[in-house]
Amino acid sequence: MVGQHVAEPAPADSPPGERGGGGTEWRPANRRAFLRNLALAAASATAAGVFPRAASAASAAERARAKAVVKATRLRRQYRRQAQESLDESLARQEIGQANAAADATLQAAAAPLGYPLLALGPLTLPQTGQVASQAADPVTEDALARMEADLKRALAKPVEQRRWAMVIDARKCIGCSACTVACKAENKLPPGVVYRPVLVEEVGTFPNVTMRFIPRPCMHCENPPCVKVCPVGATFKRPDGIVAIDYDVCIGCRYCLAACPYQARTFDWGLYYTSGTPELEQYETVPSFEYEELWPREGLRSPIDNARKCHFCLHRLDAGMLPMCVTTCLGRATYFGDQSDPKSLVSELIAQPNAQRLKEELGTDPKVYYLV
Amino acid sequence: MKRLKTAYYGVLGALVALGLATVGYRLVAGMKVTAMTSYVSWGFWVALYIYFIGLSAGSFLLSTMVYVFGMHSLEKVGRAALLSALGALAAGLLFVWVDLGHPYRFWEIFSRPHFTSVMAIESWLYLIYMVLILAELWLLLRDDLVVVARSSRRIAAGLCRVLALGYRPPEDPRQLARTRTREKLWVRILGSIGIPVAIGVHGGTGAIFAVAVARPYWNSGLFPVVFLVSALASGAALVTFLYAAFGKRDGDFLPILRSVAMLTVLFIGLDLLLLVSEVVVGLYSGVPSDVNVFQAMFTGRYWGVFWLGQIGLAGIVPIVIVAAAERRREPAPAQAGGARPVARRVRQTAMWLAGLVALFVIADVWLLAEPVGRAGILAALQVPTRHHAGWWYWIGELVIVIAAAAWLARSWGSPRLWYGAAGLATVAGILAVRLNIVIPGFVVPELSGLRTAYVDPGDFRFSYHYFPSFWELATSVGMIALIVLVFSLLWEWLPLFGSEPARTASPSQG
Repeated sequence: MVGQHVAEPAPADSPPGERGGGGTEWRPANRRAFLRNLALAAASATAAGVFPRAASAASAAERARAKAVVKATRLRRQYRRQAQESLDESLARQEIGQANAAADATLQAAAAPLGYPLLALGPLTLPQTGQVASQAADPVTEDALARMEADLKRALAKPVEQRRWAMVIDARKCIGCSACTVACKAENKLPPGVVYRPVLVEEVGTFPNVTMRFIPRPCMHCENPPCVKVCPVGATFKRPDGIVAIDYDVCIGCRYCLAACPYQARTFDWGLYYTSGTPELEQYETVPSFEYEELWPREGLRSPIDNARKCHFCLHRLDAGMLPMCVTTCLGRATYFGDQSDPKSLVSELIAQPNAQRLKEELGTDPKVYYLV
Repeated sequence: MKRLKTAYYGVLGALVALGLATVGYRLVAGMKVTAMTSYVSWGFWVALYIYFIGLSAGSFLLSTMVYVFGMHSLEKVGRAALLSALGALAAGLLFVWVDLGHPYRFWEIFSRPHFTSVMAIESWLYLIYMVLILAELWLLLRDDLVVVARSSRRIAAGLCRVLALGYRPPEDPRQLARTRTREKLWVRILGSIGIPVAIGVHGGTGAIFAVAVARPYWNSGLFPVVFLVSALASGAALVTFLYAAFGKRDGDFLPILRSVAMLTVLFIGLDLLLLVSEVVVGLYSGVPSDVNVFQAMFTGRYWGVFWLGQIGLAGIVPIVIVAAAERRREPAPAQAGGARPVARRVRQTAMWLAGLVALFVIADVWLLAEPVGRAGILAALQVPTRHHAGWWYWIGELVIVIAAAAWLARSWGSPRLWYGAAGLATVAGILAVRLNIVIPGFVVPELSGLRTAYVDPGDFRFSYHYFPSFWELATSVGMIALIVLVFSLLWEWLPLFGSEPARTASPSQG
C-alpha cells in the first residue's frame, strides 16, 4: 500500500500535458483526480439538464480554470527541462560560472510567461559563485553551494533508491536571521499557522553574560519516523530516497502524526489567509504551491487545506536539480544538504565530524538532520 | 407524564436541530472553526470520542457479566447495557468523524488501511465490535420483537417488525425450547468473542495514545489499562444511572441497583489506584516532560478539571454517596409518642450545619489570608493560573457538597435517587478523566522555545494553550443530543425489559 504511491521524480523528457507533472506513470493521485474529475463532469452534466443556465456558467469557469492549470503545469515543466539541460551541459564542460549565467537567463526567460518572479537558484546568480566555482578542483576554497550543487547532480544521476538525502545545520554559523523560515514560507506558499522550518532561540547565561543559540528545526526525515507508523491511511510515507512525504489527496486530517512527532515538525493547514478580512484576498495567497511537483491551488476546502503539512526538503526543487530553498537562502552558509550515501558529498564529510549531533537520538528515530555544535 | 415527555423530546429535538446546524457549518467552513492548534492537535472532540468509546466498552463488558459469566442478578440490565454500548459507540464514532480534517475521506481507513497505525486497527475493531453488538442484541430481542410487532403500538410495532428481520418463533414448544437453548449458546459465544474485542476496542484506544513515543505522559504500558478500568467504571456507572432512572421497579430492583453501584465503586477505586501509581512514579522520577504535565494538570489553568471533575465527581462523590447509602438509616416506623427519632434528626442536622459553617469559615479565612484578599475570589472565578485562593475555596466547596450529600443520602430521599446520582456523577466525571488524558499530553513543548520560534497572524495555531471554541462545544452538544434522542426512542420502542404490554417506565419519566 505504501510503496505503491511513492512518487518517482519525473523524467525530464516526459511528454507534457497531464495534470500534476508526475511523469507518464499512472499514479493513484492522478487516478483519483481523474475519477474526481469524471464524477464532477457527470454531476455537472446532470446539473446542466436541471439548471441549464447556472451549470453552463459554472462549468465554463471550471473549464477556464482547468485550462489555466494545465498551461501553468506545461510552462513549469518546460522551464524545468530547460534548466536541467543547461545544467547538464555546464557540468559536462566544467564551466559552471558561465553556465550559471546561461542557465539563469534561460530560467528567467522561461519564467517570464508565468507572471511572477522566480526565486529559484538565487545564489547561483551571485558573481562570486562563478569565480569560486571556476577553481572547482580545490575542495578547500570551493564555495559550499557550488560543491553541493555538484553533489546534487551526482546524486540525481543515481536511481532514486540509492540516494539518501541528509541535511547538516552548523549551529555555530547560524545567526538566527530566520531567512530560511521566510524563504521556505515563500517557496511553498505557506498560509498563516503553517511553518516548516522555525528557528528555535535559546538564551544561555545570565545578564550580562548572555549569548544566544539558534536551532533551525526542519523535518528530521527520520529513518524510523513515528509519524509514518501512526498514519491510519498511509498518506504519509517514507520515499526510497529517505524523504518523509505526505500525499495530500489521501490525508484524512486526523492529526495523529502531529501528536506522534517528537520534534513537532508538522503543522496543520487551518485554511487561513493573511489577507482575509481585507478588501481583497491577495493573489500571492491563492497562487498554487508546487509541492511534490503538483499544483495545489488554495480554494474552498481543497487539500492541502485541513491536511497535515511538513517540510519535504523541497522535493520539487531537488528533482529540478536545485538545492532546498533554506539551503540556497542561508546567509551564513550554515545549512548543508546532500546525499549521505555518497561518501564524496559535502554532507557525508560533515556528518563524519565528531561534533555532529542529532535531536532526541534516544528515541531511536534516527534523524537525517544533523547539527554541528 | 405526557407533558413531561413532550417537553423532553421538544428540548432534545431543539438541541439536535441546533447541533446539526453547527455540524453543517463546521463541515462547510473546515477545521478553522475549532480552537485547536498545531501543537495541541487534539481537543474536546477527541476527548469525547475516547469518552464514548469507553462508555461503550464498559457497558458491553458489563453485559457480558450476564450473558457469559452468568451473573443472573444483573440479567435485567443486560439488554439495556448492550443498547447503551451501541449508542455510545455511535457517539464516539460521530465525534472522531467530525474531528477529521477531511471527513468525507473516512472510508480510506477501510479502503486503504495502514495497519501499522493503531488508529487503523482500532477502526476495523470498531466495525467488528459493532456487528457483534448488533448480532447479540438481535438474538436477545427477537422473541420480544415479534411480540411487540403484533401489539397495537403503531410506531414501535412497525419498527419491531422491521427489526425482527422476518424471524418467527417456532410454534412447537419442544422446538421453541431448542431454539431458546441455541439462542443462549450463540449469545454466549458472541459475548465471549466480544470480550477480547471490547478490551481491544478500549485498551486499543488507549494504545493510540500510549504508542506515541513523543509524549512521555502517554507513553507507558499502564495507559491502556487505565483506559480499560475507567471504561469499566464509566460503563457500570452509566448502567447504574439508567437502571435507577428508568429500570422497572419490581422486587429485584434495589438489589440489582446496589450490585451495579458497588461494581462502579470497585472500578473507581481501581482507577484511582492506577492514577496514584502513575502520578507518584512520574513525580518521583522528576523527568521534566512528566512533571510539567502533572503540574499543568494539578495547578495549571484547568486544575478544576482534575480536582473537581476527576477526583471529585468521578472519585470521591460516588464513593461517599454509595457508602452513605449503604449505611442508610431507614426512617423508623412511627411509634406511639415517637419523639426520639425526631430529636435525633434535629441533633444531627444541627451538627452537620455547624460543620458546614465551620468549613465555610475555614475557607474564607484562608481566602482573606491571601494577600490578594477578596479579589482572590473574583480571580478564582476566572480560574487563574496557580492561584491558590481559588484552589482551596473550591476544594472546600467540594468537601461541603460531598459531606452534605453523604448526610442526606443517609436519611433523606430514596436509595434509588442516590445510587442514580452516584452513577450520573461518575458518568459526568469520567469526561474530566478523558479531558485530562488528551489535553495535558500536549501542554509541554517537545522542543523548548518552539512557542516563540515563529510568529505570524495565525499565531494562536502555534499555542500550547487550548480551550474549545463555541463551534466545538455547540457541535458536541448537538451530537450528544442526537445520540440521546435516538437512544431514548429505541429505549421506548424496543422491548428491552421484556415485552409485557404494560411497561412502567420510559426514559422521559425520570
